Amino acid sequence: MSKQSDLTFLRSFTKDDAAKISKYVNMFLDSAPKALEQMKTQLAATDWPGLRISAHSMKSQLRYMGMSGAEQYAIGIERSCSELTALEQIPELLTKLSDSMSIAFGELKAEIATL
Amino acid sequence: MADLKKKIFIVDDDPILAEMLKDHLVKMTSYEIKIFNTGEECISAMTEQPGIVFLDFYLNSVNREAMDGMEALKEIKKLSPETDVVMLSGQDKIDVAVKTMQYGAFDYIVKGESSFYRAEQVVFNIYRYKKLQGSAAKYKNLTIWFGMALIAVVILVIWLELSGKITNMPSFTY
Repeated sequence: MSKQSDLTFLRSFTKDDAAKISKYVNMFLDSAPKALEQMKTQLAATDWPGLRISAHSMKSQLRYMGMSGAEQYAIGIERSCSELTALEQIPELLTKLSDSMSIAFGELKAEIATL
Repeated sequence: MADLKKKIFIVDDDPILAEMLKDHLVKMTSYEIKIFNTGEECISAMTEQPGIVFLDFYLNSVNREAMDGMEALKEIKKLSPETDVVMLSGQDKIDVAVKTMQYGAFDYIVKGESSFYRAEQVVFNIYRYKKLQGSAAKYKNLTIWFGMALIAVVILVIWLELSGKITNMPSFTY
């Protein structure tokens, strides 16, 4: 699988301030797994409105971490939950999102270790 | 002059966005900035009368029982009508933006990479708007005072004339 994250935006936003990049990435590494777990729970409970809001809220964080692939899965989940269409695709989208995020977590940890 | 309150509240249950927005605005403005993760916490702190509140549209993404952004907007405007509320949302939908404006939001920012720069611009616009409001109020007061002074002079002249202390035909003695 190709690289799942890209810190170009954060580098530009912080003007290459290593402390700030680490702060934001660590906040993401702390909050994203919890958000992902919440989405899995919502899927199990077929809580579509809740899952839509969770996917929607996750999008901006994924964008800041340059995780465009994962962002597309979150957009797909949000759209399906919003329109209540192709609901059968949501488990697969969530699995792909989870896989992409797992890889990105490793990448991000490695990147901030080198800052 | 309008009170240019130097306090900004950021209300968002996304801790990363809130922190990034705070860091950006701290660099760009002289406002004191506070972060709240829920609408309820922000409402409790409204006694501090912030000048600006950046408010997330979906405040209940982490806790579904929490107050949502629209409820918080209504409550903030009820408690402090002078506070300018700027809505933050990932939804690029005009009807959502219009709805928030109808409930008194000053502006609407779509979350994204450019949202921090937009927020900075909105703070500047609000500052300029408040300053203009203050100037308008100052000129209104000046006009009222000038009008009152003019009326007083006219009344004085009429009274002096009626009491014979001045006449219409001034005479000059050489």
